[in-house]
Amino acid sequence: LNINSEILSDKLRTLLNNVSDFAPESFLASLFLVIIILDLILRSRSAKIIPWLALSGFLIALFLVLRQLHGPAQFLFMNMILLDKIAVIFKILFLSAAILTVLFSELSPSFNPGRKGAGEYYAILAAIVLGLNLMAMASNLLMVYLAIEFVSIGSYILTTYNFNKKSAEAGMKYILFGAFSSGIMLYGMSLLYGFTGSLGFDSGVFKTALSFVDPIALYFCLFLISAGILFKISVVPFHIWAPDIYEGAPTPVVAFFSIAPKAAGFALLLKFVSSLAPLDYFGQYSFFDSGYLQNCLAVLVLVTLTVGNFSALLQNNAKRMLAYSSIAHAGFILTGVLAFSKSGLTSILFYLPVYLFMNFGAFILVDVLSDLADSEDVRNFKGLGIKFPFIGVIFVLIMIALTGLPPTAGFFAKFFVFSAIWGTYQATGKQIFMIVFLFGLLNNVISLFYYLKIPYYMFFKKGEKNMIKYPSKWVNILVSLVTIPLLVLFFKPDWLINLINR
Amino acid sequence: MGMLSAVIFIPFIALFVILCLPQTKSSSFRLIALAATLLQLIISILIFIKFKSAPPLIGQDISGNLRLIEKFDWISLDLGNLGKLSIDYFLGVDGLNIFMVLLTGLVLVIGVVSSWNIEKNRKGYFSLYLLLSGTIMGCFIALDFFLFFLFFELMLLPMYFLIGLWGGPRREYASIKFFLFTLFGSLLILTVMIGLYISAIDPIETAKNLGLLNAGDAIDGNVISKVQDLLKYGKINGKDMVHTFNIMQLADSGNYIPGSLLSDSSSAALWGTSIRYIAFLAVFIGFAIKLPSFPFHTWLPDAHVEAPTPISVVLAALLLKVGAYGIIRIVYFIFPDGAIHYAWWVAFLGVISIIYAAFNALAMSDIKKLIAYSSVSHMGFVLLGIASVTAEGINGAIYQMFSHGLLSSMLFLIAGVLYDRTHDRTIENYRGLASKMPNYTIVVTVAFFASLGLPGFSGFIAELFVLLGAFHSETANGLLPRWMAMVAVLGLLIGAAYYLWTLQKMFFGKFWIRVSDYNKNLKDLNRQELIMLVPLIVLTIVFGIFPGLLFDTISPAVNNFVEFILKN
Repeated sequence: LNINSEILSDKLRTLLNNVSDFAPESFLASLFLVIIILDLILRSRSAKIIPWLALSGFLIALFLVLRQLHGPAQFLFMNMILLDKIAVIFKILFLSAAILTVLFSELSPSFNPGRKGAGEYYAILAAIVLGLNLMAMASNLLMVYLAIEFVSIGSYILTTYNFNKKSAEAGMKYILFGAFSSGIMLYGMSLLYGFTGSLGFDSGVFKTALSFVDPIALYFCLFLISAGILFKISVVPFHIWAPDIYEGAPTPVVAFFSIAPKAAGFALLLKFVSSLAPLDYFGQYSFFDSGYLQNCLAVLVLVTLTVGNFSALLQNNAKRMLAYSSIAHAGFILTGVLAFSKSGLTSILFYLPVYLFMNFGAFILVDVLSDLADSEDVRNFKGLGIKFPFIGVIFVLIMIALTGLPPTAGFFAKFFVFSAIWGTYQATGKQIFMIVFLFGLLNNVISLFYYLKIPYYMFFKKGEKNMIKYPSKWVNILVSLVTIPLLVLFFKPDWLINLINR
Repeated sequence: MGMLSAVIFIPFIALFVILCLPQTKSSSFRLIALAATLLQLIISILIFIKFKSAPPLIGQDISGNLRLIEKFDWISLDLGNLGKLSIDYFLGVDGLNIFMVLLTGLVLVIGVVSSWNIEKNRKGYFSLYLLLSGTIMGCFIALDFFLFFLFFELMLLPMYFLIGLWGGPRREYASIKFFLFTLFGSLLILTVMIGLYISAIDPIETAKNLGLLNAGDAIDGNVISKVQDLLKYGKINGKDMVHTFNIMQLADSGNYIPGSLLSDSSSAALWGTSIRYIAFLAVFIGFAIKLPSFPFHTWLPDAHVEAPTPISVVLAALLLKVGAYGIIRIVYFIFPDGAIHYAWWVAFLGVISIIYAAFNALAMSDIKKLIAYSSVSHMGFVLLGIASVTAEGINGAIYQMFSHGLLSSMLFLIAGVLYDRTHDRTIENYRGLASKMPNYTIVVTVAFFASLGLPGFSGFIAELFVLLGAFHSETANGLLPRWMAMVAVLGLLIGAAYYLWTLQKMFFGKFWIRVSDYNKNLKDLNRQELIMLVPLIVLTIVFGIFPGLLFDTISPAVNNFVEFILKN
């Protein structure tokens, strides 16, 4: 008994020591509680105060995360989570996305979170961010599952926040698909646990045990687990939920979904790839025939790029088009994973922040334009570019960034991904990388058609003269804010890259 | 800020000023644009004067002819195992681009004068025009591949909108076609660009990285050859290499990592062709689209017909030259082996362009389309001259680039004069215009004769030298058979046919027009049109009589260039 209590107190001590390194997450948890309680107290006045509270809460959390940037990599809470540089970068990304979401939700002409309780809306957002942070840090299968569910359940609720039929349908679809995919993932995890007797996939026990497992069984497990992750990053063929959800959910929520959970999915994928697969990331011993895994990933990249781009070509609904575009972007980011190299990792960490800014810009402007045109159909955006040149020019810039052309950071995002895959081709000489490279370039050309479709209608088609609505000044400021980094990071990509590499 | 930066950034500053002014000050926009382009012209003349007096800078490039260099670190990134990536802000002029700078300065001013009467959304128009002005200039003087590519891509957008918003009835189709063709080309260029920077290093920066050279030291050849030796024997760690986009360094085969994808010793091949040849073809096609050469020329007639007159002028006089200049500066410098290997095919495309486009021009009834096809035909001469890799041929090609810049501006302005008056460019609808518009007829006659290669005009010198080079090639370096030059001469003949026919049909004989409404509009050239046309006429004659003006300046660089290509 004595020994037991000693172990117990020892564990408690480590737990308590770790709490300080867990500050941002603890803060987010308390933010969640404070918002809910304040909402109950303030009632009708909450719509005015809560957004400010949420905004400042996320800013403080961002500040807390930034302080972790230069800390050492360490396992916390008895190897449940791993706080390293990459996780911190992802956390910065999530919090930036959350801040932009708060601003966007308040300024959006089409969506009013206060209508059915601003308190709940922002509380759920805080909870999702907490879950995302855990996803980026998890180093234990159980933690992974909990974090994913944390994020998913919050997402299901936010999807329905338009409170109309479409939104409800989207939420329902999301729940069904989401529950199914996490079930499959859970099954894969339980098999892995059965094989290895360990849940910590970063631990030595886990890796040693894996080397005794029959490869076929291992591939099967990996397939099941990746189904859950690929669902989150909407890689074809796990993408079917995305367009419907994007169309039905409130636009600010969609903007958030299109970047934050997706980035978290990539964080997990990177973890799995680097701990289960052949590793050039850390140069460790591998259990898998690297060629096999790479071929599978390469096929996923090719399919995702093609399906995403070609489906986007056929869309006339702006939000659906952006949904498919974000599927195509998942393909590009996955190309960075496929590169299996340090530069591949760097390219992903550069791509995601750039993608955050350009996607938010795109969604904000689509929201504004569909409000001005009273329709989400791009063909009804005609003449808006001439009428509102400022919005028009910014929109063109953002679309160019999404296509990946200079002078925007979108160019460097794609450039680094392509450089990484080219570097891998050069190092290995495998034809498949060359194919992915050329295919990616070709897809870039295709993407141009639909990205420039909206500016085409905005500038080249004549619109009706009498326009009653005008975009608000604050929206203009917000889109400028997200566009500036896109330009700055083109002229000085070193700033971000050095931050990632240091 | 040096003069070369100034000549690029002045339009951007003016663009910023225009953007800050309210829409209501519509008459000030063209004044600002005129002031900016005039300033650009003055500075490019100053650059020319300084270029003539400045000694060449040794050690910066392979041919040792660069002057007035401006070079700063722009982006430098640590890519981990891939080494370092360095992108320079690197500008410079030598014999190959100095006349392009002058031409750009001149044509941009003419473009603004020609846009004087644009009414529709002047703020947008002149903003885009200024953006275009800066980027074209940037293309001609950037010596870092990345910087060049940036300007090259950036040129696309203003052009797309200028054609698409201010163009003729089928402008949407034309602008999108233009955009897609050129974008396809630039993606090919981008691919090779990535391959090049991964394969090559900058010896000077790498020396600094290895501690062989201190930051402030003068660069000398010993250090460079020492680094190249280390590289050759695999003594440099991948992490210490500094990868570069510097065109001058990319041209030196000693700077390629042995065994890397695009190095001379690369064993990689695609469909049995060495990867360096494939890369040559990819960049060549990228620029041949811009040039444009047969079979990539189909965007050009559409774009020209739909574009407003000033934009046609800029497109024909400058944008096509960017393609030709890219082939010389980038394709041939970086892939001299491909240039030798594919010389026959490059020349063949040139000859086909000359003949095929000339026949097309013969069949056109729209005068602007005729001129557009004649442009393709004339750019074929540039390609033929470059492919011959003889001093005459390349001198001639550069002369042709300059001369065609003057001539095509003139021709498109002429087409614009008619279009402004009647909105009808069909050749068959006019006859005997000489009696109604005498001055116009004189200008047209001069332009047509200059363009068909009459001695005494600049076009004659250019085409003569190209043909000489192509003819001489068989004995000089054995690259091109003689029949190519002979067939190309045929192009001149067809050229004479379509120009003389048009002249005869439209201007001579008894005055007749299909629609009598035109009668009241058919006035002779006004002052504004004379201001644009007369200097161009004077220049073609001056350069037709004193070819030394151009040859004396460019031939040292051209000789080095030829030597460099043939050495490989």
